[in-house]
Amino acid sequence: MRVPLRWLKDYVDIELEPEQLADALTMSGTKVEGIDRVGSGLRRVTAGRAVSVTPHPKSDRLRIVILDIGPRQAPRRVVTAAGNVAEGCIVPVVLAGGSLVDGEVIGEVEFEGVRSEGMLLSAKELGVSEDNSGILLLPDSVKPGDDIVASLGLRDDVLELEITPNRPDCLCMVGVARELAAITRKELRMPARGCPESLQPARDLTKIVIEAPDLCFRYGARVIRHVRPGQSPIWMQARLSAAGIRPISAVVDVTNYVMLELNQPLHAFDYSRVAQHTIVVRRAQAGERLVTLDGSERELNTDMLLIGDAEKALAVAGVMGGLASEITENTDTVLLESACFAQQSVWRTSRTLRLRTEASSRFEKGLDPASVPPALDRAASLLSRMGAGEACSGIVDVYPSPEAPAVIETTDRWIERRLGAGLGADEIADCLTRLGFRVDTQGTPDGSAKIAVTVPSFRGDVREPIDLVEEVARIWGYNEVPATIPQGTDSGGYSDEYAFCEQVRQALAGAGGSEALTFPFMSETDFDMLGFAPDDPKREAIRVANPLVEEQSLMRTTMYPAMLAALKTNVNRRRRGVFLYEIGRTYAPTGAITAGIEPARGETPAVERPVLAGVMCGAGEGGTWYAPERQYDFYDAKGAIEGLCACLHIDGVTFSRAECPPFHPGRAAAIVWDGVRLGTVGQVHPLVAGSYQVPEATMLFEVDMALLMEAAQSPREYAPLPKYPAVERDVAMVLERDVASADVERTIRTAGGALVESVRLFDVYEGPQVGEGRRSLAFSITYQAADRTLTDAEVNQVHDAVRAALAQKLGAVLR
Amino acid sequence: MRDRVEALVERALSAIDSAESAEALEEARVRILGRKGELTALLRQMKQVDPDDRPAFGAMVNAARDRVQQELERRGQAMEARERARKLESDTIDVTMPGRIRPTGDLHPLTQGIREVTQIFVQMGFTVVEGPEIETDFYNFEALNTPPFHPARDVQDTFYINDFVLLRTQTSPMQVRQMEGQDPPVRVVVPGKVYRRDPMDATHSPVFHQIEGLLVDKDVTFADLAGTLTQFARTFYGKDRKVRFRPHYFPFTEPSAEMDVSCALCGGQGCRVCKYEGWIEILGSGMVHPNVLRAVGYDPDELTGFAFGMGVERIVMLKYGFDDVRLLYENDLRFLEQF
Ligand SMILES: [Zn+2]
Repeated sequence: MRVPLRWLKDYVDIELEPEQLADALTMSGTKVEGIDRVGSGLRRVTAGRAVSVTPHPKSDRLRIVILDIGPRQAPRRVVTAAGNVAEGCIVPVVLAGGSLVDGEVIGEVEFEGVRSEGMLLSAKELGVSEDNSGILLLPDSVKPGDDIVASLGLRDDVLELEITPNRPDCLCMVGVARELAAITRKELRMPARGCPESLQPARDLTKIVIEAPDLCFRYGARVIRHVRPGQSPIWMQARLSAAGIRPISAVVDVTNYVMLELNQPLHAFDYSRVAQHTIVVRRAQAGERLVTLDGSERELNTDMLLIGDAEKALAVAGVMGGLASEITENTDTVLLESACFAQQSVWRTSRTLRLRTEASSRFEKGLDPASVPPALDRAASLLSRMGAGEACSGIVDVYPSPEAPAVIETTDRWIERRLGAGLGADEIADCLTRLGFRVDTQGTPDGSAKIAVTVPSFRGDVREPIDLVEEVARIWGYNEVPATIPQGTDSGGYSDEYAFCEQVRQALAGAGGSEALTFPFMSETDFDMLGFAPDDPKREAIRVANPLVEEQSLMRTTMYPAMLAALKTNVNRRRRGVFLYEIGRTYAPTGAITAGIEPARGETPAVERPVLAGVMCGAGEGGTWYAPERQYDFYDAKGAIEGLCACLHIDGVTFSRAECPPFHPGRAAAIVWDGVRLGTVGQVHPLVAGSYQVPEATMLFEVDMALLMEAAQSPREYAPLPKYPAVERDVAMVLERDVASADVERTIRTAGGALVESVRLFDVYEGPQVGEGRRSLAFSITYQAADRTLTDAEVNQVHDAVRAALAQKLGAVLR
Repeated sequence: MRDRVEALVERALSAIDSAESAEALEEARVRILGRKGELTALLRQMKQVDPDDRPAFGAMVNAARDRVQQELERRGQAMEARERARKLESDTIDVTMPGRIRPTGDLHPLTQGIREVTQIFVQMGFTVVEGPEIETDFYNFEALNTPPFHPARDVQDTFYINDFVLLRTQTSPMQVRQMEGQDPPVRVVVPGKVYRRDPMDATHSPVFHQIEGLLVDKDVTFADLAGTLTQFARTFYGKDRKVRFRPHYFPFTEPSAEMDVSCALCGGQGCRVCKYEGWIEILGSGMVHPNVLRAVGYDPDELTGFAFGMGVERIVMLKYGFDDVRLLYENDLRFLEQF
C-alpha cells in the first residue's frame, strides 16, 4: 500500500525523518519496502496569471500567453498549443531551466520566431493525475508566484508498505496513523465527519432490505442531492495519484479517498436508477446476469451476493457495481453505499468471476462493521466541503446482529512465560492501550495480575491470549526480548534415509558424477518418447490439475526424461563429456488419489520413492597426454554402479541382460541383488536418443534408493587376513560370442572350489584371429588356502580341473 | 729435506685438484702414495737423515701422507657427488605438465546449502527428516491454521492434484506430521522441495527448496526462538553479522517474526544486494500457534514451541552472489562445477 506522508500527517504528528519513520514502522510489523519521492522531478514550477492571450503571428496552432508570476518577478512570455487558457486564468508554469514531474528539463525554446520562457503544464506533467488534455486550471485562491508544489501537495514522500493479510485495518491512512501513534506515543486524530444536512431525512428517500444477513452483516446508505459533475480539487487528485488511485470525478474520488482513509469501500449508485429507491441485499438467482462497470456481462450464481433494487441486480456486492446504475454527468442524486460483507463470500465471488478490485481485495480480508457509518459521514462531509453535493439528513443503517466487542482474559505471567521476558503488567497494559485496546488489570493474591483486554472492532485478528503476546512484543520491541538457548538434551542427527543419500552422493561425486537437480514433473508424451508400452505401469502417473505448461502436467514416474533433458542442455552447449546424477523422487498414486477421495489422516497421499538416476555421454576419461580420449560406454555406467556398490560394501550385485524401455535391447542390464532388481543400467535405444535429441551413445541408469539401502544394510563380517601366499594362474580361451563372461567366471569358481580366491577378466579379443562369431577371453585366477601354503602340484591339479570344466561345460577352446 | 717434503705435498695437491675423473685421481694416488710413489721414495731416503732428526722427519712425512690422503678422499667424494648430480640432472622431468587426475564430480549447490544449514541445527540437537511433497490440503493448510478462504491461501499459487491433494507449498506440513507421529519433545529440521504455481523467471521457480525447523517442549519461549536462530545466523553467516527480528505474519505461528542479518557486502550501509536497507531477510519464524498444537492433540497450555523456515535458493544465491534462480535448475556443468 502507498501512504503519502503529507496525507498521513493529517491524522498524527510526525517528527521523524522519513527513513526513521520507515524503520519504526518496519520494526513494529508494518514493513516499509521503499520510499517513493513523488514530485521530486518538479523544479522552478510556480503559478501564473494569464495577463494576455494572443494568437501567434505565424501559427494558427500556437498562442502567446503573457504571465504575471508574482509581485517581484518580471512577467514571462510563454508559447502554448493548449486551447483552454483564457485571460485571467491561473495556470501552473515551469520556468526555463526547470523540470517536469518525470524529470524532463524545459529550456527556452523558440516557436516560429517567438521565444518561450517556460511552459504551461497539464495535470499529468505536474503529477496530479493522468489528464493531459489541456493546461491544468488552478483555483482563484492560488496567487501568482505561489509555491504550488508545496501548497497542492505535489511533492511528497510516499511509503510503500507491505500489509500482511491479518492486518486489513492497516490498509488505510488512519490505520497506519494508528500504528504510528502507538509506536511514537502520539495522539491519533480522526478525520472530521460533520456536515450541514438538508432537512429531508434519508430514510424517507430510500429503503434497505438485507435478505442474506449471513453474507451481509451491515448495510448503510446516505442520499446526496445535487451532486456536481466534474473533477475533485487538485489536492485530492494529487493525494489519490500519489496513493496509486486514478482520479476520475468528484464523487468517485471522494469514495476512493474515504476508502483509502478509513478502509471502508463505498459505492455510489445513481439514485434515479434504483427502482422504488429500494436496496435489496440478496443472493443472485441461478443464471442471473449483470453488466458490470467494466462493460462485461457477468453470469452470477446462487453463491454470490448481489445488491439489487426492487426489480433487478445493481451490483456484485463488494466486487463491482453495475453499468446501468453508474453515476454519470447527468446524475443529480446519489445513493452512497457503505456495507460490511462476509469475507469468504467476496473472496469466492471475486475468484469465480476472475474480477479483483480495490474493494474486493479489502472485503475479502474482513472489514470492521463499525466503519460503516463513519465512512458515510466522512464522504458527506468531504462532498459538502467541496461543494460537490448536499447530504440528506441521517443514515439508513441496517445492522441485524451487532456483535459485542471481544474481551480476552489472561495474566501477566502467562504472557511473560510465552515471551521469556519479564516486562510486568504495567508495560503490558501500556503497549496494548497505545494500540487502542482497553485494558483492565487486577492484582491477585499470588502477585500476578489478571488482565482483561477489550479488543477494538477493527482488530478482528486478535482473538486469543497468544495474539496479545504478539501485540505486546512488537510494541515493546522484538529485539528487546532476551536471546536464550532452550533446555533439552536431545542429540541431533540425520535420519538413516537422509544419511544414506548423502553417502551415495559422496560416492558418485568421487566417481566423477556431478549432481543435477531437476523438476519432478514430466508429460504424457514422455512415455511415448521413452517407448513405454501402452500398459506399462509407469504410465500411471499423478496428474497436476492446474499445471503451468503441458510438459509439467504429470508427477514423474521415472527420472529418465529429466536426465535426458539435463544432458541435452550440456550437449547443446558443446560440453565434451557429461556425467550427471540425481537423487530425486518418483511418484505413484495411492488408492485415495485414484479414487479421488480424501486420504485418511496420517497417511501420505502418494507413494514417493527416492530414486538414484544418472546419465553419461560423450568424452569419458582421456584426451590427455597420458591417455587417449575415450567415449563413455555401457561399461562406464555399469562401473559407476559397481563402484557405488563397492563403496557401500554391497557384495554380490549381479548384472543380467534386460530388454526394457528406454534402452537398447542388447545393451542394458538389470541390477540385481539377492534376487531383487535394484534398477537398470544401459545405453538408450537409438529411437529414444532421436526423440530427446541426444547422442546415441547415451548411458542411463536408475536405482531404487530404498532397495539399495536395504542391500547396504546387510551385516558385514570380519574375515581373517590370509596368512599363506597366493598363486596366480592365467587361463585364455576362445568361446562362442554369446557365452557370457559372468558364466565363465561362475564356471571357474565352481570348478576351482574354495581355493579360488579371486577371478579377474584381463583381456577380451574379437577379430579375425578367433573367427566370426567367437571371441577370446583371458582370466587371471588367484588360488589361495586359508590353512596352508599351496604346493605346485595342488595348484596344477585345481587349475587343470578349471580348464577341463571350461572346455566341457562352455565349449571353450583353451590356449 | 723439509723443503722437498713440502714441495712434494704441493705437487700432490695440485695433481689431485686437477684430476677430472676417477681414473686421473687414482693415477695421482698411485704416483704419490703407491709402492713406487714419490712419498715412498722420499721415505726411503730416511737413512740419509741425521739420526737425531729421523723422528721429526718421519712425523713430517706421515703428516704429508695424511694430508694427501685426506685430499684424495675429499676430491673423490666431490667427484662422486658431481657425478650423481649429473646423473640426476639427466633424469629431470617437466613438472609443469598436468598430473594424472581422477576426475571427481560436484554436489549441487543447493545440496551443499542444505547440508551446511542442517549441520548447524544437528549440532543444536535437531534431527533431520524428510516428508511427502504430495500433501493433503489438511496438512498443508487446514492443520496449519489456514482454513479455506483464508487470505493466506490462494488457488493461484498452489498446484492441485484434486480437491484434497496438492503439491505442498511449504515444508511446514511436516510440523504437523512430526507432532502427530511422536510424543514431545520434538526437535526436527526438514529440508525439501516445495511448489508454487509461479512461472519460471529470474526470481521465481515453480519448484524450490525450503528448510523447516520445529522445536516443541515444555516452556519454550520466544526468547528461545531468538536465541536459537541468532546462534544459527552467527554460525552460518559469521560472528560479526548483526541479527534482528521483525514482526510478520504466518497463519501457523503467533507471534511471528522474520529474521534479518546485516548485509555483508555493505556492512549495513545499504547497497544493491540489500536493496539499500542494510539488512537481508533470511528466514520466517514464530511460536507455534495454539491452533496447530490443538490440531495434533497437544495441549497449548502444557506445551509451547517455535518453528522456522528458510528458502535454500535464496541462501545459496546470496552466498555465491548470483541473482538468477534459473541457473540452479539448468544443470549446466559449467555452473555446477563452480561449487
Ligand atoms: Zn548491502
